[in-house]
Amino acid sequence: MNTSTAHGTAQYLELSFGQVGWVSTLILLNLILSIALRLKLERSLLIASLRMVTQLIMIGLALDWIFGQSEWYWVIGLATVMTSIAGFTAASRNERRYPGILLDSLISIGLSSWIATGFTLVIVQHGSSEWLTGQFIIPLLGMVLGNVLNGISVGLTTLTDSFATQKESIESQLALGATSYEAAKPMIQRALRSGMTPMINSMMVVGLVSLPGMMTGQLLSGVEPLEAVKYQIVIMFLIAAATAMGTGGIVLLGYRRLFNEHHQFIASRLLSKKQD
Amino acid sequence: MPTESSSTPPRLQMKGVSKRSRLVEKPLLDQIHLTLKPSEVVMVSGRSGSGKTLLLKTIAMLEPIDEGRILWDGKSVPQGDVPRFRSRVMYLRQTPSLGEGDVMTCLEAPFLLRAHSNRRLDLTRIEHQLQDLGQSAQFLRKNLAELSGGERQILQVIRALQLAPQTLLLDEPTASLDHGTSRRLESVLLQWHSEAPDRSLIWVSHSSDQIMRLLERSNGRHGTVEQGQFHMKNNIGHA
Repeated sequence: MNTSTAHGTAQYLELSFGQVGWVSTLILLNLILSIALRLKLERSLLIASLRMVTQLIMIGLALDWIFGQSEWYWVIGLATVMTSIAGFTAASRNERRYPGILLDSLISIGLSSWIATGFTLVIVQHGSSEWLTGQFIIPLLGMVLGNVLNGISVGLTTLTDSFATQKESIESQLALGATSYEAAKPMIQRALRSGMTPMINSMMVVGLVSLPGMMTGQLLSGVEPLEAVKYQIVIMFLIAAATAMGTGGIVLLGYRRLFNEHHQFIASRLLSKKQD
Repeated sequence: MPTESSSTPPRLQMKGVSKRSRLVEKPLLDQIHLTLKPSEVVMVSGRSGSGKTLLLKTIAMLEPIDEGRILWDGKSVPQGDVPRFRSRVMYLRQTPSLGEGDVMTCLEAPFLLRAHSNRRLDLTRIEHQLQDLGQSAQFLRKNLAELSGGERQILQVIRALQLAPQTLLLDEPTASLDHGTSRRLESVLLQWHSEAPDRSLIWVSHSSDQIMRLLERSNGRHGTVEQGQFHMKNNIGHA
């Protein structure tokens, strides 16, 4: 595709498939290392490489097509598929399960990502409907989903782990007259903190340690640095808000599943994946 | 046994309470009927694994039940009132869970709960009780991680008594104590019981000596738990 740049000063260099092919031989280094040191990673490396290439080509083709469609439902459809995959992944990565974990995961990741992305688009678009197209919605949502997924995953793991290991402490607090929220509060706080820490860390070092992927992409395609930075700032705040909402959502929903209205802690609802 | 007076309802009543598990066919608690009067002491014995601990937790409404009713002063406890119920009918674990920090922190912590926000720590009373239990005031500065099993049980009782409960549900409160301290704790608890006419105890014990002793001193009743069933004994040891 021959994309012209916004400001025309810088230039966008197109890659040929031959060039991509040459760079992909770098994976041989990994293979050699694995074989030489008997790491037994060859299979995983090959599968991972193939998956990466196939998945990216497929999404490239899909996006190419979606961007060409003017009907909104194609964009919403793809957004729904992406959101569902993120929700499934967050729930299934967790070592411990409870009835309803998948629904909780889908609700938290869906609501948080869609609300945050929607809010940003509405603020940014000021009047022009140009922003409300697949070309903007899908990449933005994808970035948000990837980050919220991490927050939710970490928050969920911390919550279920501390509920499972601190059963006695919870029960003892309840026995003293604590409400279920009072008894669960330390675990809820810990889960929220650990879910939001990676996002805060990345805001701390962004630009110092690494350039974010999106900004790199924009710079490579010829966007002026300060323009790319503006985008990145919007994205970082968008991700921060979405992560907070998503982590808060999953932690509170999970807490509600494991206590009942009689302020009883139903530890038996927490199952380890291995047992089940 | 004295005849049931109809004017004051029992402090606690279990009416046909059953609890099942998905893993075993036999119910964990099987049609339990139990009555505790406002000033009564009930000693409970039974083999390990018979369901004594589960019985106490169920009375404290810490465990969901499949069947039956639990009545407090003749009425069932509304959902929102369960924390207040537990602050009055207090279950003490066999292995106390006390949190982190030092003894003083542990004693102060429950006052942050809404159910106890109107109460204050009574240091003089704590010091007296510690003295009665053969501990010095130094005990208050000890780190929780350094406490022995017996000291943890003592601390749990002192913490509970600060919170002005009406009924204590004790799960082998002297299991980790030496004989002397055990007798002292018994006295502290019986004294608490006799200080007001509306205080009651359900006390799970493994020691038949202790059961006899406490039945005698408190004029209490004795029940046993066997395979999830509860039976009241008829005045054993008194005849």
